[in-house]
Amino acid sequence: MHELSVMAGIIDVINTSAKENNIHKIRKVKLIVGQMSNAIPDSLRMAFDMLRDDGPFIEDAILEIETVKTQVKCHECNHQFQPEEGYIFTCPECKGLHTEIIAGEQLYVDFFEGDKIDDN
Amino acid sequence: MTTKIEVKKSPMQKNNEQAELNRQLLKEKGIFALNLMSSPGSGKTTLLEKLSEVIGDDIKMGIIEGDLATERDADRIRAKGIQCVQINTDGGCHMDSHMIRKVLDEFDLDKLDLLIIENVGNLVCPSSWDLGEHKRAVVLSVTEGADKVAKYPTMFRKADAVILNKIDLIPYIQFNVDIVKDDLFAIKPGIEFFELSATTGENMEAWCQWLKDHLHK
Repeated sequence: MHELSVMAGIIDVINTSAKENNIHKIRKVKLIVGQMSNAIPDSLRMAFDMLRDDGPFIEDAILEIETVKTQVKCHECNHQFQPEEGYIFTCPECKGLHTEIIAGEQLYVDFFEGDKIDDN
Repeated sequence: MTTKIEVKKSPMQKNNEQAELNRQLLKEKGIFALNLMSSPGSGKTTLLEKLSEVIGDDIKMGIIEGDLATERDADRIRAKGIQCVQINTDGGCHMDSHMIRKVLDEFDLDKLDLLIIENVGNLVCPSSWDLGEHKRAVVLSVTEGADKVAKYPTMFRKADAVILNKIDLIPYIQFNVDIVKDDLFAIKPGIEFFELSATTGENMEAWCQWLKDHLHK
């Protein structure tokens, strides 16, 4: 369950940014989570519910997660594909072995929405 | 009024920054660092015990052991005359780069050639955390079944080498090495693959030579 430590990192990133931007209340958090990031969206949601009460910025926020499917590019024929069954990275077009994951490994805070201190 | 703040930041950033510092420090000291990962019970510690017997005295090795609890693995390594520091994660499913940095100064870094970090037994979480290693190896034992590579693709995709351990047991169980190889080369073409038995010592030299080939000195 490393989602708990990942979420602690996410909340740290958000709180730091909130302070820098004079945000006193966070309303919404948007995460981008790749299929190969080893973080399960449902576990992230559970970790968010467990940790957000530590607030004080984030206790009322909602969490939105956008998942990104694994996308692979073949360096031999430039074909782009989603790996079959999630793990066959050989190019289905040319059978090339030189492939690179171009999407699906990412895990980051895209943005958050919140109220500024001087908003009242 | 609600304001939108673009962040575009990874929660792993602090870990990755520390990992890069670890990697640079180890390289400056002429130390090759290996992150050794596997599920529990694959034989990582036995592999390191046997390595200490075959690698030779001219290569100075240090080991960091990662487990949720106990000093048991560290005690086994120390009994071989190898300096070993145990990290207990107290329930954590992986190690991170800050844990590694905290214990690095317990070694005389000027005298080490090789540092092996035996990660917490787990085929999922450790692959997400950069510790500052130079290479990653995954140990897979034949008793776990030949389907593990396909079931845990991220771990194997991120590895530089895979060690198939306990091959001395193949005559007694149903295990097809070709399934492992086919899945592995579909996931990571060109990956280094070793078949050995840490218990009998069969083929230990090949893996040992791979380590020697990557030493910085």
